[in-house]
Amino acid sequence: MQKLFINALKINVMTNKGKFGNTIIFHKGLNIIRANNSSGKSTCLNSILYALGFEILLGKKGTEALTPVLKEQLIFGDEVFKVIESSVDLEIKNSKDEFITITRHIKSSFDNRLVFVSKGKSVTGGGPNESNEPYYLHSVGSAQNERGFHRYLANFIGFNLPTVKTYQDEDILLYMECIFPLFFIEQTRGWSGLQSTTPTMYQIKNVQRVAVEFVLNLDVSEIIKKKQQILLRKTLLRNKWDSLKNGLDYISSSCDGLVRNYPSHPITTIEHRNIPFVSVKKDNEWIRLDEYLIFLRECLGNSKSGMDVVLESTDNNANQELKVLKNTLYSKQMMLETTQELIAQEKGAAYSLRERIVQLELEIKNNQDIIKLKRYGAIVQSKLEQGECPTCHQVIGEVLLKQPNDKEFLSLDDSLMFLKQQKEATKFLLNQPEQMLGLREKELATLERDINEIRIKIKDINNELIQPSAMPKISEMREVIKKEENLAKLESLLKQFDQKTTELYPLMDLWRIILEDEAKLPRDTFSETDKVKLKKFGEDFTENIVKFKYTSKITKGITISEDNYKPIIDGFEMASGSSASDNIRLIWAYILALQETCSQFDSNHIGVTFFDEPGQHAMANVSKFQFYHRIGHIDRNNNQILVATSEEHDTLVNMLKEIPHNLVSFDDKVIKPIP
Amino acid sequence: MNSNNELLPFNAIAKLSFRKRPKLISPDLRYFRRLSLIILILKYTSFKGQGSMLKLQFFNWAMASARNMKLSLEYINEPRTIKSNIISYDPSLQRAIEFALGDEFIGFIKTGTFKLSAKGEQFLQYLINDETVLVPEKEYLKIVSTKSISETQVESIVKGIY
Repeated sequence: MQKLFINALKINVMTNKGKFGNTIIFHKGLNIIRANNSSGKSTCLNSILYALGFEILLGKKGTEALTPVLKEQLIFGDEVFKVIESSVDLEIKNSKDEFITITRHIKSSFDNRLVFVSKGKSVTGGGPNESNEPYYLHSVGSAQNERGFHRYLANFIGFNLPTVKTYQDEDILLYMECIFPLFFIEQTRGWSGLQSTTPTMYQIKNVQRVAVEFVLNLDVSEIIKKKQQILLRKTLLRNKWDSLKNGLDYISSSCDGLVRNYPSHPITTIEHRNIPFVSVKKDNEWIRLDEYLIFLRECLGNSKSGMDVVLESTDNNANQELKVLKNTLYSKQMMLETTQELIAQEKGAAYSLRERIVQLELEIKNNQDIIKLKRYGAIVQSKLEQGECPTCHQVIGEVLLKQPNDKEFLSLDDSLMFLKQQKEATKFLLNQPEQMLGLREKELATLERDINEIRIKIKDINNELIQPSAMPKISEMREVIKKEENLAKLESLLKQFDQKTTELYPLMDLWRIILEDEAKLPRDTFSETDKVKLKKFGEDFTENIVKFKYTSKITKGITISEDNYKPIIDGFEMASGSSASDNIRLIWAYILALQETCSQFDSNHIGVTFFDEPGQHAMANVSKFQFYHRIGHIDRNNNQILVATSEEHDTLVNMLKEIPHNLVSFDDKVIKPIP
Repeated sequence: MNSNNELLPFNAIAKLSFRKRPKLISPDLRYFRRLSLIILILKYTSFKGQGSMLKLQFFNWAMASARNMKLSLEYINEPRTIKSNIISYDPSLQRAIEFALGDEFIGFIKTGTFKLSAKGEQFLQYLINDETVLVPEKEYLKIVSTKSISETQVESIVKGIY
C-alpha cells in the first residue's frame, strides 16, 4: 500500500469577473496531464507541491514559486482577469486509507504559511469540510514542532524521520523537503541531475545520501550511528577503566605499594586468581599485601605477649590529692627558680665587688712599690725623681702622659690614701650582698627540701594508682602501638582497595554488553537487507537504462555506489560526461528504479513520483515509448505516477496504446471559468 | 609643686660651685714603675742586658696583667697558639723609654737596640735586692729568663707569623 496517494487536486481562483479553477482526479498507476505549453499543466503539479508545502523545490518560497495565473492575473481567451483570491485543495490518502484534504491559500487574507487540514474527502466528497485544523510552514521548527505542517504530514504518511547531522554538528530531524526531490522531478531544474532540487539551506551533511538512505530505508545510517555509539561507549568505558586504575594506584601509593594484575584493557571476565592486588616490599621482596598483613599480625602478637598489663586508676581521692600536690610542686618550683635567680644576682654583685677590692689592693701595692722605686731612683740620681727633664731640664711630672700635667693628678701619697679609702668602702659594700646571700641560701635550702618531699609524695601516690609490677618498657609499648597503627592502616587500605576493585565488575559487565551489541552489528556498515536492496536497485536501474536506450556508455557492470547511492559504472559516476538526453534517461531510470525497488521492500518511498515534462531535449520517441511503457506497467496497487507533458495529444494517445493509464488532456487552458 | 619644694632643698642649692680636684692615676702610668720594668726586661730576657723596642713592647704588654702574663708564657712555649692582633702597643712605654734614655738608665748600642747603662745596672741591683717590690713581675721574668728568648722569636710572636 502506498504511503501517499494523490486523490484529487482542486485549484480555486476568484477573479474580478467570476470563479475560475479546475479539479483533477488521479487514479492508481500512471496519470498523465497533457496540455499545450503555457496552458497550466505545470501549474497543476506545482500546485500539488505547493499544497504539500514543498514549493521550495521550485526554487522559491511561498507564492513566489507559483505562476502569476494563480496570484495576479489570468488571461482567458482574449480577456484579462484579475485574481482576487486563490487557493489550492489537495485530497490525499495514506496507507491506512485515511483521507485528508489540504487547503493552502495563495492569494488571500490568510497568511500563505498557514495550511488547513480537514479530515475526509473535501474535493471528491463534495463541499468544504468544517473541521479545519491550521498548521504552519516555513518557520523555525515547522518540521519538528507539533503545529508544524510537515510534522503532521510525516505522521500522516508514516515517516519516522531520522536524526541527521548538520555541518554545525547539530542533530536535527531530516527535512521532508530534502526527500521530495527523489519523488518530484521538476520541469526545469529537476532534469539537470539527480536530486538537483535538494535544498541546501538546512546545512545537512551529505543531504542527498541521507535522503536516499531514508527512502530506501537502509540500515546503514543506523548502523553507522550505532557503531559510533559503540565506539563512544568503548572510549568512555576505557576512560573509566583507566581512572579506576588510577584510583587503585592512589590507594596503594599510600603504603608505597604497587597495583599488580590490573588488566590494561577492558575485559569481560576475570578469574579469581587474576584479580588485581596490592604488592608491598618486605625486606627485598615484593609480596601481596594480604600476605604481608598476616606476617605483621604474627609480629604484633609476639610483641604483645607478656605485655598484658592493665593500667587502672582506682582511687579518686588519691587522684585529687595528686592534683593538689602537683600544683604545690609547681608553685614551689617557681619560687625556687626566683630564689636561684636572686642568689645569682647577689653572687654577681659580690663577685664584682671582690674583683674591685683585688684590683684596689694591686694598685695600692703598685703605688707602694713606686714610693720605694722612687727612693732607689733618687739614690742613683735620677733627674726625673727631682721633677726635671733630663734633656732640657724643664720641670716635668713623673707621669707618662702629655707634659706638663702634674697638677691634675693626685700625688703618690694622696693616691695611696685614696685607694685605701676606696678599698674600705668597697669592703663595706660587699657586706650587704654577703648577708643577703646567706639568707637566700637558707631559703633555697628550705624550698629544695619541700620540693623533694612533695615529689616523694607524688611518686608514692602514683605507685598506689598503678600496679607497680610487670610494667612493660615504654619503648616496647611504643613499638607495639606503632605496629598496631601500621597494621590498622594497612588493613583499612586493603579494605579500600578490595572495595575499589569490585568496581571492576560493573565495568566488565558493561564491556561485555558493548561487545555483544557490537557483535550484533554487521561487520561492514551495510546490513544484509541493505545489500539486497542496493543490489536490486542496481539491477532495476540497469534494466531501465537498457530499456531507455542509454547510449553514452556500455550498460554492463552498473552498480549503485555505496558512497552516495548514485549509479556508477567502472567506478565512475554515470552522470558525468553523458549527453543531455542520456542524462534524462538516467534520471528516469534512477527515479523509477528507486520506486520499483522500494515497492518491493519495507521502505519510505511515498509511492508517488511526479515527472514534469519528461520528454525533455527532443527525446527519441523510442525512448519515450519505453518510458511510458515502463511507468504504465508499474505495480498499480502500490504506485502512482503523475506526469505532466505537452506532447501532441495524438502522439501521446498513440504511444499510450496498450499501456494502462489515466490521461487528463486539456485542449485549452487548465484554469478555466467555473460556471 | 609646693610639696616638691618642701621635699627638695631647691632654695638651699640655688647657687652651686665646682672645684677642680686632682685625679687618680693608674700606677702603670707612673715613670718609676715603667722604668723599673724596662730595666728588669732588659736584664732578664737577654744575657747582655739588651733588647729591641719590639721586645720591650711585647713584655710590657705581657706584664700589664696577670692574664697577659699567663697568655704570653703560652705564646712563648707554643707560638702556634697565637691569635693575631692580640698584643697591643703602648705609647706610654715609648715615653718611658725616652725618659729612661734621658735619665741615662739605658742607652743605645745600635739603632733600635737598647742596653742597660751603669746607672741602670746600679738601679737594677736595688730592685733585685728589695724582695718586697715588683714581686709578680720579677717572678714572671725569672720564668721567662729560663727560655732565653731571641729577638727573632719575639718578632715572630708579635707579628703572629708562626
